[in-house]
Amino acid sequence: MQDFVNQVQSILRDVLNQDTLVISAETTAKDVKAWDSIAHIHIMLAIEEHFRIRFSTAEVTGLRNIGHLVTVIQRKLST
Amino acid sequence: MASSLATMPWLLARSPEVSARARAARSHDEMCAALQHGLSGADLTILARRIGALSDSPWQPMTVGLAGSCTTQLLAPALVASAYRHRLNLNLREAAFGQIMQTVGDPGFLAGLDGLILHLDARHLPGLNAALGASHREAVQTVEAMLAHLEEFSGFVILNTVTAGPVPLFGNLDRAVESSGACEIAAFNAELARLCRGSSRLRLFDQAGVASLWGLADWHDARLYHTAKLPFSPEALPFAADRLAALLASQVGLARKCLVLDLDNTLWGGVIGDDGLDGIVLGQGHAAGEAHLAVQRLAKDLAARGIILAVCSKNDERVALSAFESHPEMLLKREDIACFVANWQNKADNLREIARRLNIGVDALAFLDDNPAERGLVRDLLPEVQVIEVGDDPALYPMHVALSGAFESVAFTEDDRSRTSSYAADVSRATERASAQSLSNYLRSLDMVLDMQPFGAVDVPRIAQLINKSNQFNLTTRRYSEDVVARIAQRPDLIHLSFRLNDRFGPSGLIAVIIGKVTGRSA
Repeated sequence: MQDFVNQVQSILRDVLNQDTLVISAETTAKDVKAWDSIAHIHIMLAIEEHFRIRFSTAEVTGLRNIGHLVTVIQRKLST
Repeated sequence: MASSLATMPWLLARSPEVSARARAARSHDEMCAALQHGLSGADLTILARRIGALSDSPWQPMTVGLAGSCTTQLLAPALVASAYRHRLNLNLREAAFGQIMQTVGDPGFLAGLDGLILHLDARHLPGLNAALGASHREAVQTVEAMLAHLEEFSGFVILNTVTAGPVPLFGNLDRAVESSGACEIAAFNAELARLCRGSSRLRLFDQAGVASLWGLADWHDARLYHTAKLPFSPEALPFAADRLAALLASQVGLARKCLVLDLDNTLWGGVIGDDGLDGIVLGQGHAAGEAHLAVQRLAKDLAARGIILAVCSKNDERVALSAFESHPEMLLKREDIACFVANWQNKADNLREIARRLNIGVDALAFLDDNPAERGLVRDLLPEVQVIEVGDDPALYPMHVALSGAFESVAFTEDDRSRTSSYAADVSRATERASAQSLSNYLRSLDMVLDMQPFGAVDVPRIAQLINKSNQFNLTTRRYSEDVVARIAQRPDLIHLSFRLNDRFGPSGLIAVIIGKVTGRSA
């Protein structure tokens, strides 16, 4: 889990241009500066490209926090 | 998901280092260097903020409104950054979501705008949002209603062609069934093109063409439309924004005027100095030879639409010319080239010389050369030149030249059609001048005739082109759109004169314009 959280953290740092951002499994979008609805689109697309997965319509905005996001990523990678 | 155009291969490649440098760019020069590369949407968003903060940009400023029926917030920063690549310092005024009709009726929003982009979407145009029983007439009427509100607006208006989603109702039959969404969208787009053709200030952003180039199934992203009302996939943003930015830049005369061509391994395969006239690869029956012919064909077509051609080659001049004069497969002839430079000097110096001989700015040049060392040299020594990035496969060169946006245009005039021959005539005049005994002898020998006329309707595009493209010789530095020029021609209180010059080398076309206001009469 932590390895995936670290990868997502790298992606967030890159997309949001915040080199020192630190996240955990409990982090939500509201907790992170500049993670608004537009940034969210960029983040989800960057995650898709990085892991070579595709989120469904429901998943694009239906994820609760980083932990939930990582669970979904792991599930997609194992199928 | 990704189109082959995602990397924008006519630009330098993106890498993590390039991206980091782009995000750290703070000065004009750093930003221009970064924008020579194909950057991601996230890179462009960050650059756009920095552009907004620049206080001393040498690029031409432009303020444009943006209103759309879908979310425009991702397009806006990509457009500002892409415009900077095309030498435009763009300030965008964004309307709130889905507010096109309110925006066109809002004089407060429109005040001070140089132009307005109305970003249309088929899903939001009445009559087009149906797979069956669609009607393009309702959609056209909606657009005409938007334009009716803009009659007093003095700026240009950009409308875009629209796309159907990748959901054909019948399959192949959609194209044949009138009132299918596909047919009606095609009819709407044709009507839009007709509207723009007949107007001096409506400009067409061919988004349907852009989507087709990208790949329609990759262009659309149904999830993101449902989630956030995004009109198209954000992955296509850097490309789409670059196409729209090229249109904006050409609106104010910033497109390039001349394509400078290398010879060896560009216009033919092989090196003529080593392989000889018989050894170069050009022509039918040989794959690479066909590819190089296609490059020549594009160059010839560009010349036919008003782009000047020049040659800049590291070769003995006689040897280089021999291909043009004697090779049976050459499509380009010597007279297609307005300025031919073949020597052993460095190409940056030669490009400067070409600009000087053609009497155009170095920043009016675009450069095509298969050799990365030459491209790198020109980028370093002459950043004003647009260097088109290519790989080693000539089959792709025409597409790179075309998609680079170097020769984007908003009009196609009679003067454009005859431009190469008129530039070639100028080079002849320069040669004559060099051999004449005195300036006055030279001028007398030209047998010049200057014809003066009030503005005619058919001259309006050329007059506006002259006013907008001239810098040093626009004595008031005022810019007038075609619409304003047409109105000037109607006013009895204004003097308007256009001048056409002919001499023994040929016509120079419409070369000067005077506009004056009558303030009184002397006794």
